[in-house]
Amino acid sequence: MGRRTAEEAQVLLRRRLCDPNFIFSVFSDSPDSNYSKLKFIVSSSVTEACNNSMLLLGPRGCGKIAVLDLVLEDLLKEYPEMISVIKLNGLLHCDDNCAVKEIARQLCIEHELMFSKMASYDDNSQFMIAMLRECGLAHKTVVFILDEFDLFAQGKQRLLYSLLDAMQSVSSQAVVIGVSCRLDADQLLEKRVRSRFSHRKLLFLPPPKDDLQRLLKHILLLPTDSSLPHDYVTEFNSRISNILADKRFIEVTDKLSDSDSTFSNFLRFLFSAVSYIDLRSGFMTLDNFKSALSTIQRQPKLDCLKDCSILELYMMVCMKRLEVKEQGSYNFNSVMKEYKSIHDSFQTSDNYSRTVCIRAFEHLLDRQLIEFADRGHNQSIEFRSVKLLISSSELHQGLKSNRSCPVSYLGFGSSNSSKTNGILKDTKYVVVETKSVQHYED
Amino acid sequence: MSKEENPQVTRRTTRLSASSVLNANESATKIVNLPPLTLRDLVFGEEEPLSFDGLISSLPGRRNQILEILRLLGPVNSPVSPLFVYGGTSTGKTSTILQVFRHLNRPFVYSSCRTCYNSRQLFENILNQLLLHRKSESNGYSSAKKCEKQADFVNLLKEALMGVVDNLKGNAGRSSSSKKTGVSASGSTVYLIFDSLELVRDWDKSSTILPLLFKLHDILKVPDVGVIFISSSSLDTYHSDTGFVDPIPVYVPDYTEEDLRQIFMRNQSNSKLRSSFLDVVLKPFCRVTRRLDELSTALSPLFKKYCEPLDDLGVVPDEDTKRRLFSYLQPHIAPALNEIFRVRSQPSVETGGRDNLKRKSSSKKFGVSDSIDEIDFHMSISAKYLLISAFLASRNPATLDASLFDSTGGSANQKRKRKSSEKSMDLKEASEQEQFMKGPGTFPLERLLAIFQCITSVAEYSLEEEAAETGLDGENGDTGLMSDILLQVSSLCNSNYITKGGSCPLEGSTRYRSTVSEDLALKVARSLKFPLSKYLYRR
Repeated sequence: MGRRTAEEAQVLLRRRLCDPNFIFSVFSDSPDSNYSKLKFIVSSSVTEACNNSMLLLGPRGCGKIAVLDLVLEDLLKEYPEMISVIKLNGLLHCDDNCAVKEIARQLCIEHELMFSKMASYDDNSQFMIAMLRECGLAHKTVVFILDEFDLFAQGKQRLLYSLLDAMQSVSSQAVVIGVSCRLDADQLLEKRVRSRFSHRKLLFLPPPKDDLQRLLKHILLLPTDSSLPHDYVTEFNSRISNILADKRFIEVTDKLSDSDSTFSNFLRFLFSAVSYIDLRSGFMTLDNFKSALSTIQRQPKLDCLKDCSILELYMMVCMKRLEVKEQGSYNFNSVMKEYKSIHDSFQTSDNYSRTVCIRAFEHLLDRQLIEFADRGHNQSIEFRSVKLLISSSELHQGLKSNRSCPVSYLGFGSSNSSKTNGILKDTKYVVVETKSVQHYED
Repeated sequence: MSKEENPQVTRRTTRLSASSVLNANESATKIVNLPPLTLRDLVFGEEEPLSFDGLISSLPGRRNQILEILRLLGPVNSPVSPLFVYGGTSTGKTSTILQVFRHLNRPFVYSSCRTCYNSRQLFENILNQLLLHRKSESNGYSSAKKCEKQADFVNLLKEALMGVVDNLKGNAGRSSSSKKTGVSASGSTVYLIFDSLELVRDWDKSSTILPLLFKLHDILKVPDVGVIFISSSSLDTYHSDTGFVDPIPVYVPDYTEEDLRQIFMRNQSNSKLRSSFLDVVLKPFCRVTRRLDELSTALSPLFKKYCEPLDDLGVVPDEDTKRRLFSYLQPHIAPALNEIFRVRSQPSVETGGRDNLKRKSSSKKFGVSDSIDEIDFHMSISAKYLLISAFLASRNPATLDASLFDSTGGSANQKRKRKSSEKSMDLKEASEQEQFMKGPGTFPLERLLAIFQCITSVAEYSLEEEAAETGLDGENGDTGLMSDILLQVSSLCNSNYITKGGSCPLEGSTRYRSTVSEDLALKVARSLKFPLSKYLYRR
């Protein structure tokens, strides 16, 4: 009984988290929210039979499309036969031919007409204009949603111009809603397009902290009228309320929203936390949230450094030393020279041949810890100049956290004492080298 | 043949097409009719399902990652956010995911961005799998739907997914009553797995394809779909102009030494012997690399060497034997470390390099070349001369050609020995540094051929004296046709000894660059008995 209810609760919570309608319906009640404003604009243009255009702007993951979908769903319920929706996406349809074909296809589906794939661009655009006229005469509003609006504004903007131009005629009734994550999307429009565009903009911002609290309660508290047993639900909800009021939990959410406070980041965090529910007990604990935080906020370069082998770390330390010596650009040959000089002065046991070092160099390139600084592919790999993509503090931290790194390398990396030509004094140099085959004690 | 006499034929029948009609009957019987695909093929497809313990034990060292993936995928029919699995190469990401799906017995569609090398292949591959279409001879090895544009892909994918999900739901309702245990899929959620995602960054239209893939889950709006990405580099290396929606990351770290030891100990007949071998060898090799594929190719010949002094491979070694084996192996460890990334090709060790890497050489001189034990590939004489000329052309500045190679093909005059002052030493160091950094220079084709002509005329001069002794006859007069030489140049380009270095802006002709190191050039010159050092320009 315990496991099944826990699983059911988990599935319920996951379903809620993956459903944008559920999440954004929290904010739909207050009158000055974006939901209400958007609803007002669209419904007024439907009822008054006028044309309109607007832009929804805001960073990614703030719920623009979700709120728009919510508004349209409600409006479709209120005015059943008076709205038809056409959705276009800049990633898919930025080519004009594609876009017009897609518009024609969606119009055909909506009005149950036959769509021919062989229709040309002219056929499709004439069809679109004709349909707009017909819909206008029938008092039906066509709502065009242009997702990734900034991608439509690249190139010649033929589609935008034809759409907005078609809206200028008396008999058409259309609303064009552009959605973009670039806040200057309207500056990208050409002059003739911009003059036909009404400069209505709705700004979607990441939520403030108390909104997040409201959202948390809305999502995590299980409903009392579901199929789950009643006492389980009350116990679950009381535990959740305790956690939400806990100071440590507030620290966790602060840490999360300090780096990225958009809705999508928050929902990912909650999804990860919900998936940590212990299915035996069936309740969420504060540790779930803490582990979710560490999963979401990763430091990929440090993880990479932890995985590097000693030879690869060695090469990066050589490059860091070259940078410290203020050698502006260096390539594999100079790194090898530095490698040999370290070996000559400090007698390490890691002296490998050139082919081995080239391969380790290529591994570093694959892991994207170093990168070529020039663009061409003309030279072979030994001569192209490279640069390190990690800072010295990251390198130092990575060296410390790598389990198999000998202590001596820490001394190499942090040598920035004297700048005399070619001589670098290592103050922290400690020889704790284990000889490679020395384990075999007689 | 008989078909050609047919007066009704309006098109001219070639002999080939006429004869192929006769063969058609034979080949018809050879067509293997593969059964049509069913929904059951969307699942991993092994006969017996994999238990949880079997899953953990088949992937050593991956217990944490398996648990994480299992908990993110969740119970049956629960919706899932997109997942992004990343980690180094050969850390077991793909096998972990596929074995997890084998354990869970859920339907999935796997496509690798390595085998599908552009977007059209990728889209059509996914659609073929969803529409249960198999490419066979009957449909001319074509895909189910031709899909090139992203818009078409999204529409077709949506239709195909709805179709598959409906079928799965229908099957789930039906099969609960039937007794088939087999491999019918559990649940009605379909998972799309994209492997090797980092290769998409190098595709043509990657700036639109990558955001599309990351946003696929949102665009589709089909609730019973999960998307999983597998990549060998982390999310922050995927650059995009306006960003994309982040999936949930799952990190797969490299194997630690203990994990590697566990992996190498699997399926061993004599585990004690193997473990004593690993005690000796694993730690020094792990200092160089911890990648499983490289370690396994490096360690297997060493293991063979380690077992050589043993008469009986099944013996459990005691301390004495271990010591003996260790001292036998020890001198081989250091050179093996230096060759750790080299995959030795078997024939070259045994036959001495006669028959591998045949070059496209048609104008071989003087029969088969004599023992080239210093170079382990086989090249014709003229190819070697070309290689040396390319090296000289890259190394020396063009203005010196006249003095180094005068018209009679004589060798360079002796350089005037001056006492080098301190300033010239500094200049020498600086120029060496520059040589270090810049690399070999470029040269046009005409210069290469001119140097080649000069060198070979010298060589023939000295070889003619030898030829007189051995009595070899001579096409020594000219060095072969120019077309043969140009063929050699192109084959050297193909093997990366000469690369194209971009074109000269004034003339527009391509320039070449030699990528041969000085050691290799000296080896080749030594095999030809060519005095390379006299021609090298040293400041």
